[in-house]
Amino acid sequence: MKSIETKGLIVSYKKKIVLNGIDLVVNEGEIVSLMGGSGCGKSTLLRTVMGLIPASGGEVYIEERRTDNLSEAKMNETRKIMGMVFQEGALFDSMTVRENVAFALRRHTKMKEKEIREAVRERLEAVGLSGVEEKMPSELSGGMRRRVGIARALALSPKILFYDEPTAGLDPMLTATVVELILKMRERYGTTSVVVTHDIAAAERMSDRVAMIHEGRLILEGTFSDLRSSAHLHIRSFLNSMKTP
Amino acid sequence: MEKSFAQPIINVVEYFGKLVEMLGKTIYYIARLAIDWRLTFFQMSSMGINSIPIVFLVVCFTGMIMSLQITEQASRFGTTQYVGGAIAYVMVRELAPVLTAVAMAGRVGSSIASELASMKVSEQIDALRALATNPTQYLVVPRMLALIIMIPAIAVMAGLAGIFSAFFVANTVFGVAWPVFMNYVPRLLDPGDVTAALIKSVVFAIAIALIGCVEGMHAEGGAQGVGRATTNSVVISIVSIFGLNYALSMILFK
Repeated sequence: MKSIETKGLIVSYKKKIVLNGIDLVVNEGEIVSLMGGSGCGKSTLLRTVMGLIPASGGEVYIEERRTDNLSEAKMNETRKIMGMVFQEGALFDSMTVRENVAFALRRHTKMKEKEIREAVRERLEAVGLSGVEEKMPSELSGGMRRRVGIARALALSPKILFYDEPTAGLDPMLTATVVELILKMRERYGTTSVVVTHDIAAAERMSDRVAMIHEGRLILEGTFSDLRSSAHLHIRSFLNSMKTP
Repeated sequence: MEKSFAQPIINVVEYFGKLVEMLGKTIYYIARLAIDWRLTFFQMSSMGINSIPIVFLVVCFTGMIMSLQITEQASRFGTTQYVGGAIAYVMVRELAPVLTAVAMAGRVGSSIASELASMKVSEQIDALRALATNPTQYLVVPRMLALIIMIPAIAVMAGLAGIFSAFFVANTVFGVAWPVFMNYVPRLLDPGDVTAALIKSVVFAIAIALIGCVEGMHAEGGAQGVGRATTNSVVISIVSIFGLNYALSMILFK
């Protein structure tokens, strides 16, 4: 089944076209990396699929049901099977780590408090952060906030996860931890993942396919072999600037 | 040239549209009883109860100054029996609701705007939506309900405190006795005046909550945006309170 599909997706912001006719398919259980230069529209694509930004044209499908024309209330129902990990974590800074991770469980499930505590402990353990439940986000490092954000996104065991630059600014060990986590989610829960990243090595390690965006258009959708063998000027320039072997 | 001339008008219309849109959504959730009472009680405590000292200070000092000025003149003409009634009349109908609202706009309106603006610029509001939670229901409704409940209650208590403060000055400085001070209060004030003051307080509460939330949730541009939202919230709230007060006084008292 197609987990995510966009057909001719157009997004404009303040009279500027950010995405110009994106056709993308992500199948169930796949991990797809979205790559491209800064400002090319990668995060915008993620947010539009999530319904956080309205599409100006085209269509969006989640599990083969059209979502771009849904009301906010109906879109909220769809969002319960999705999760998003924001670049800086976007943790609720007036809540503890426990309250952040438990947020969706308290609002959308009938779980008892004891069950919620156990679920929170499990999610935090999965991201390698046991024992920080009572800390406030301001007491955490950037990497820790990122991982709490992942734990929070995992709370409802979503079928689809979006990651917005999950490894940006992390050291190699933490990057490897996040990559392993994304792979574990697919292995354990069959989670479909779309990952916005500039890190080619991490993307290659975890992704089944890569999609490259340039000036709002999809210029490549395929495997990493396709990427490395592409003769497209922008792709060659992108790869050379990454200085990968 | 034409565009720059029309732009301020367009901006005002757009802003008014944002206020109406948010008010509509908030009323929708309240009408459906989609209210998080735990959050509402929390806001009532943090915004309402914690504002009592500053509101009381403002209203009491105003009452005392009014008493100082009015009783001095009344003493010269032997008309001190009217002082209490005059002060109570102005305090209940105008000063208590307006001064309470202005103090709350400064303390609470700015707090709402800065908190929500910080959440906006750090993507916390997007995170709420990503977690299938409507920001208006979660953030705006509790704050608006808390202010609708607390501002009228605080205004009533502050009004009483203001009248007693005025009596304190009239008595200690000019020797006006309590029965003399209160003599004309029942003749100049009626229950309709208290109702009107409560209506004004509710309208001001809605304005403060709405403006703070709109400014906060539409903030852009990092720390500068947060600062701008906070300042705008206080300035627009205060101007709105005085404008609404004039309109309401014309409707309620004429």
